[in-house]
Amino acid sequence: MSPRADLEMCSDVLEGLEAWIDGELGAEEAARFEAHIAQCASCRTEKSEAEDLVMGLRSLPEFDVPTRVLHSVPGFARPPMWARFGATTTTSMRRPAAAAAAIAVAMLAIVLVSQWRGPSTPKYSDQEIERAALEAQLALAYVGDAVQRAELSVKEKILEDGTVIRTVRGFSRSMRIIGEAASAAAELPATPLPQ
Amino acid sequence: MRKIWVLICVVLLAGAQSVAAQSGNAHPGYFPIEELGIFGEGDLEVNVDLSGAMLQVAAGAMENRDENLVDLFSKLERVRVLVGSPKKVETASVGSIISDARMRLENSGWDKILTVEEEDEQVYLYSLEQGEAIAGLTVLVNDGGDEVVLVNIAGSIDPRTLGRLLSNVGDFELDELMAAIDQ
Repeated sequence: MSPRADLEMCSDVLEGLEAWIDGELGAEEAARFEAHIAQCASCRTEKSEAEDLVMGLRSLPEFDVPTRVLHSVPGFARPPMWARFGATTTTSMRRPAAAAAAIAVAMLAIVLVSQWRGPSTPKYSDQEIERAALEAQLALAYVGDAVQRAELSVKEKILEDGTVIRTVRGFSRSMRIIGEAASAAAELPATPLPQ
Repeated sequence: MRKIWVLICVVLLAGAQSVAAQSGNAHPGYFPIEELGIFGEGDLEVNVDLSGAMLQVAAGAMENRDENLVDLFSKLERVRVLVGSPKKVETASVGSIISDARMRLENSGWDKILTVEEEDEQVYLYSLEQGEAIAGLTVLVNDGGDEVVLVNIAGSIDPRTLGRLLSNVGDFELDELMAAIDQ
């Protein structure tokens, strides 16, 4: 391949590097790129640096709820609580002590539920309720704020790393192109200067 | 007959525990942020303490709002928010207290969801899983000692609901909410 064709190929590889690493190139083009980097050290270096960058970005912390919690959320296939309770009491009624305990539990549950639900509505004024709703949203807003701060921090890091690497890459690319152009020029037959 | 009395006592004890749990302190997702000792008298700019009962009522009153928000609030047991500029302790001590709090959380099975550790800012978000839901969320923010934010939310939090709400975090503007609360 001529030096000019080589330079064009280098340029193609650099342009398509990201797509190549992401596996988005067609098989034919990927094979062409593979063949090129097998003989082009600078493109090999570029690819290696880009892969490092991608790996670095992938290793950045993710902030999300633990996946095992996310995966376990769907699938509430249990029978309703009253059905389970009913089944228990039916069998328990055969024993007087257990039956008495079951009645006591039921009574206590009724008392607790009535205590819990009963006084809550008239206890708070509309103003207090409105304030409580705002305060609960404030708590959630602080959670959101923490998430946003983390996102910002990660973005800054990406930007910082990306800028540094891009600058280095741009500089090395310029130097390589100058060097290759110079060596290509040296290979050309000497042309007599016009008289 | 004795067995019956024993059973009734057990039931009553369980009932007493249930009443204690209602206050939110006995909930596994509760983390006593007020006991960290960062804030002294007059340091707090925001001090929110909402019980489960109040949150239920607030959720009920928010019928016209986002259903995710109503769903989330209706299952909360306790919400605590403390925001202020600590004057009682030195800046270096604030960092140390927050480190201790993190250790306590991690030793109690809480998971660290996110961390920001910069020179003048540290942000930590922890969650406690319980079965299929999140039982608690704790936020610890140290803004260079100038401002400290401590948040604890205990209850049964559906991660999907929370995720949906947090994907619209822009809906919860801190300044706007603070102004509305102050009114």
